[in-house]
Amino acid sequence: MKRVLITLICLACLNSCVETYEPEVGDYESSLVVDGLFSDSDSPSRVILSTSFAYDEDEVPYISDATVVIEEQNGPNHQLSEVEPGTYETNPEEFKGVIGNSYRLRIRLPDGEEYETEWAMMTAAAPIGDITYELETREVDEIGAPLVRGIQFYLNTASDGDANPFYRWEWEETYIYNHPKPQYVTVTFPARKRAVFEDVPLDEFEGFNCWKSNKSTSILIESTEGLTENNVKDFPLHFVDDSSPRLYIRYSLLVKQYALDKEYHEFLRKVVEVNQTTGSLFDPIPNEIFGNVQSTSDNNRPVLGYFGVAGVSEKRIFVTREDLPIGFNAPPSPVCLEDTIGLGEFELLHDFTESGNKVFYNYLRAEIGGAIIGYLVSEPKCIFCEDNDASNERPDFW
Amino acid sequence: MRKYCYLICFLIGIYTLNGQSTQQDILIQENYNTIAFESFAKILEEQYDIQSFYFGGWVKNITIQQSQAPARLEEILDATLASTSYRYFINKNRQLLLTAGLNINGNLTYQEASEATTANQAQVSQSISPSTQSALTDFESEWFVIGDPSAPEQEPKVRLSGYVRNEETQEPLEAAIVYIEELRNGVTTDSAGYYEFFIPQGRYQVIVQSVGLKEKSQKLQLYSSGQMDLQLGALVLNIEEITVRADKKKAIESVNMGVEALTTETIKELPTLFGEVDVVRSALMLPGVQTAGEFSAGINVRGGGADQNLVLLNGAPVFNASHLFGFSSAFSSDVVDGFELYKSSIPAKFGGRVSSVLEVGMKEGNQEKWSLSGGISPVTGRLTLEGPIIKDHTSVIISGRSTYADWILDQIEDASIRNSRANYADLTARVRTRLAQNDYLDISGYISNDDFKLNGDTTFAYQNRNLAVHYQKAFNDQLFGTFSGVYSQYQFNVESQEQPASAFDLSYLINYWEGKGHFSYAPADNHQVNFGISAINYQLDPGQIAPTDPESLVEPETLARENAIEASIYVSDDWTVSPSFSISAGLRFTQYYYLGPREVNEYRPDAARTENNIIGTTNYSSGELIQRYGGPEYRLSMRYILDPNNSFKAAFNRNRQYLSMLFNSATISPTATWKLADNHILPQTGDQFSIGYFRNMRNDEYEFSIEAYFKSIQDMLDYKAGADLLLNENLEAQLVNGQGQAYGLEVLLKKKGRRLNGWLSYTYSRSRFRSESTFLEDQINQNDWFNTNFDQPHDVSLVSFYKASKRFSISTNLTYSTGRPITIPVAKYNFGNGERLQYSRRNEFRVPDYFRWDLSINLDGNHKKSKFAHSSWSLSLYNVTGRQNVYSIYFVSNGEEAQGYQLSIFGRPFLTLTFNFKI
Repeated sequence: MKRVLITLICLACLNSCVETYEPEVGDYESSLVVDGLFSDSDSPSRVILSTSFAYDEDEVPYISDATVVIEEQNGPNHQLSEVEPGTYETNPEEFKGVIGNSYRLRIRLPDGEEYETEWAMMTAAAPIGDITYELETREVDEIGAPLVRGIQFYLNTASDGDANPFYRWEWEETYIYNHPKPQYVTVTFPARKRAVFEDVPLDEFEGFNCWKSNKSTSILIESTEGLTENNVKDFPLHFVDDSSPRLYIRYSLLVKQYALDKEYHEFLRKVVEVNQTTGSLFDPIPNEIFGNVQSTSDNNRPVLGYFGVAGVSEKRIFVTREDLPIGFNAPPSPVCLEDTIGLGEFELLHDFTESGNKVFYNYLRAEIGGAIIGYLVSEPKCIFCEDNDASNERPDFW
Repeated sequence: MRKYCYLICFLIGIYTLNGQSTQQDILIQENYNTIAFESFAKILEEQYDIQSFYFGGWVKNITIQQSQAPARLEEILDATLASTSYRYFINKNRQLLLTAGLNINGNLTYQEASEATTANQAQVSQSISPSTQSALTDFESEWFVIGDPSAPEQEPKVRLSGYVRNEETQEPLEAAIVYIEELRNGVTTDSAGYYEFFIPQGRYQVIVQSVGLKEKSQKLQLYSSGQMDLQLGALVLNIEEITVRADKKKAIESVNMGVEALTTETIKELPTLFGEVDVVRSALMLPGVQTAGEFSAGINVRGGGADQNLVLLNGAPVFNASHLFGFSSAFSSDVVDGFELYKSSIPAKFGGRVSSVLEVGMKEGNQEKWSLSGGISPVTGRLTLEGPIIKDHTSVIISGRSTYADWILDQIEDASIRNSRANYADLTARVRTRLAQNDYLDISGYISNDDFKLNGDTTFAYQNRNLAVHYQKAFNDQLFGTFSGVYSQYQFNVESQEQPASAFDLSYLINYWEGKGHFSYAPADNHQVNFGISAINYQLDPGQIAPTDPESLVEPETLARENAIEASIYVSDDWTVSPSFSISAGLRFTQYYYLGPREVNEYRPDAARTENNIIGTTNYSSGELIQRYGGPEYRLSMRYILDPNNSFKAAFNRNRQYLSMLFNSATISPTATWKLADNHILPQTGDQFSIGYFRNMRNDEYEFSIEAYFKSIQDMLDYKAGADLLLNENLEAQLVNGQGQAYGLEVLLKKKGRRLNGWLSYTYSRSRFRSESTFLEDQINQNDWFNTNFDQPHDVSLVSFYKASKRFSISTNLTYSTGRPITIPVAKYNFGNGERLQYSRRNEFRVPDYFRWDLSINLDGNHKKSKFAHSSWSLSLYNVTGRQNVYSIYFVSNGEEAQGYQLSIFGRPFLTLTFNFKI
């Protein structure tokens, strides 16, 4: 008997569907978090103490007034000083890491609980080699959406082969952008219906440039275990898309390269793994991940985070607009909308500026003759560098 | 000659024929006086749409007697047959049946008259062996007679044996039940379709049942030992009055419990997605069978892991039974005739997995004629060729399948999947030849190939290959043997071209060789003894990596080959102690040898099994014994029949598993590897105790069963947090041996009606795990019991097929299950200049419950026999309610913020229209 099956029509098409999900987890036991990285750098090393916090909250509960000590094996102890709540810093003039020595961390919390790590040896970081960049386009998940263009930075290491095969990188980008709406005039309101306008004195004028810095928030690690050469080639360090003015004028990228031991790398690998799942059922099942800080007073209280001991090397590069490949166009400044308020409408101007969402920065003048015909307001981040987490002061390295 | 008549009538249904005509008046317009009966039958068929059933020999000399035209057909037939001993019957489906005179009971077959004749001739010549040549003397009666009544033998008991075959395909029917009503005694046929009884001489009613085929009842007059071959026809429901009651007592009478079977015919009735008939996934509708995710590879049977099921295709294990990581099962429905799933009562001849055995049956090639069939669904194309190389002697079937599923990937809202390409193909072939009367040589082979290119730069590919050679021999009437040589191979490789500097090709391979001798011996009518011996050699290449680009810095590495031998010997006896009490007791004894060459790690005995605690290695030379495991496995099933409609059963099973699959994801991942037990990773031992109550109601229309089980698995495997399983030479440092536990209750209500068929099942099942280490790093959830990834307590399935008319049928299934356990963040913390997620203890939460309703409507074309092709339409609607069942929940934290997402696949109703036709 012959049997032929022909499917003629498939009327619908399938659609996978992704929705946001808010877990309802109820109570949880908050844990101590230790985030420390001690290096041989000339700048201070930091240990940050906090506790874990609810999934739907944003405020980090830092732990102040703890005693934080880094000990060198067969060497001195150094107590870190709290520079801001929960952040404890070394004084590199007194104490900094030496390659080949071993260190450990001891903590006593205000409640008397004590914690410490095992000894870990500091190994030298290989120098950073070339940092290159290319224009790349990326597809987004949404079907039919336009491609995203951007500059992808790649890192190469320049190890002579002896260094540790476990790498971690941190970067800090700094860029200059045109100040979109510098404030020329200020306004104050002695009364709601009365406005007093004053020109900003020249020595208080912010100027026309802002410099802004961002630090990497992802954990960037790589291992050359299983490779014939202890060098990382073309590690995708950072992608800068064309939606911001970052690459419009001049851009600088500072990269720190750390030499990790295997245990530290393994810990970071697990943290990365559970923080970047894809939704595939083939993802490893995420887990609680505890680090190398252990309680000495109560063995069962797990501690999140890690105190890493690592040698560091640094490299800074600059990229100006002329260096960039053709085809990349970034906006000159952040997108800023301005509102116009009619002449004499002080109440409206008052309400706008009092709300804090808008700031008055200049008069609206007639195109011919330059007579004042209204008032211009815009978002604070467009008027003050500081409100955009930037600075109007040129950094030292610039 | 007249003996054939008997057989024809015998093939035929439950009609009571009175030799009288029915209510219809059929007027014959022309005068056919004196033409041959056969010509007249042809005219009836062509001009009046009346099919005639008769045996050709009867009508050779009969001519039509017709005095006038037009005339009623009945008048013509009355006149024509008046001078003969034949009588006739016309039913309202316009079928004319000639009988040899007696009032008989019989099934009306759905065959062309001429075809029926030849087919039955062939059958008869096959079924009469020399010793029974004299048996069929009384062909006018409905009795099958064996032996000579005038010279009765003196033995107290005589042997009744024979073969049960599928009438249409002539394939032997395995596991068909042959039941003697008077003795309340039944046996099942072996793989050659052979059955055997030792019973006193006498008159009996013999009932034969097999899944999906028409039950057959045969009266037997037994004077001496002899052979009675039986053939079961397909379930063709073209006669409205017919009552089909296949297997009506099987659930009650079988000594086995926890055994489920589905035929491809049933599976094909189920609603499909993309028109793909999925042989393995249909098992999910059965009680006690679950999966951890829609479209994931692997099934979980009674709370067992996905690697605890032995999947056999014609006796050869298949190590990865799915295509495209679970999208479709690895077997084409064209070449599979169904499956049996042993959840409990695992026969002693099977071993090696602690949860279940899924025995997938492979079709045999048609012994009669060649045929080519094929099909196209939205995602695959298929082609099957089958036929006799030597008629009635050697048959062959070859079936291939390939996919073009890329368009599905293009629809998915994920850039990396959209840029992916998927290919899979499989090829199955089987040759079966009869070497002697009851000796067969059976060779089958299977190849499957998968190729998945993720995002254009990473390729996951995997292949299954197997070859099974079986030689079946009947030594005498009591002893049958099957000698098998089985080879199976599974391999995968991952190739990455993402960056030239890290381009690599990673591969994994497992080879499996098995030699086996299986014997079945029937020393007496109430004993069926099975015994055998088997030796398996495993060879694993657990990982190999090589650079694939001249620029690549990847260092070539090959992990040491693993080598082991598993030897088993087993014996079991199905003993009918009394008509109401049966027992099936088996013992399987296995020995496992893990052999060198190998460098074995030694760990500090007083510390956790981590890489830091390796204190040395021991070298073993080639063939040197590294570790030995083994022991007895008990298999025991009991059945007690209270009355013909009620029975109780109990079973105990022990299984040992020396080969486990490693993956640290929720379901089997593309890079899951099989790992042999070694001196650190212990073999798993599973004990299961189950009890059940079985009841038939309303004249066997309803079957009810309730089964409860408790399972304990020693040395089950789980994974440490963030385990790295691929290409790891210290694999044991990533694994945790612990204790598994599963228990549950399965309730099944089956309806076998004339129009409405189906079942409703409810499963309560729990599955838990506990690590057993004193060292914190080797513990999961501090050694507390926790739910496994596939713990889904409540599961309800409703499957129903409704035949509204001969041409129109509806089938539907509803499925509900508790969401699977997951591990999700309970809090966040700041680390490395960003927010990170703090996850809960393992599997502390669940995804939302799963619910799906599918519907399919089948419309057949008309049933005219003379049509060139038979066609049917099938409309399948998957997920009718469009419920967005959660496939997975995941969290992404880029450091700046953390966000949870839930992903659902097929979150809308999905419609497939299929057109089928048969030539």
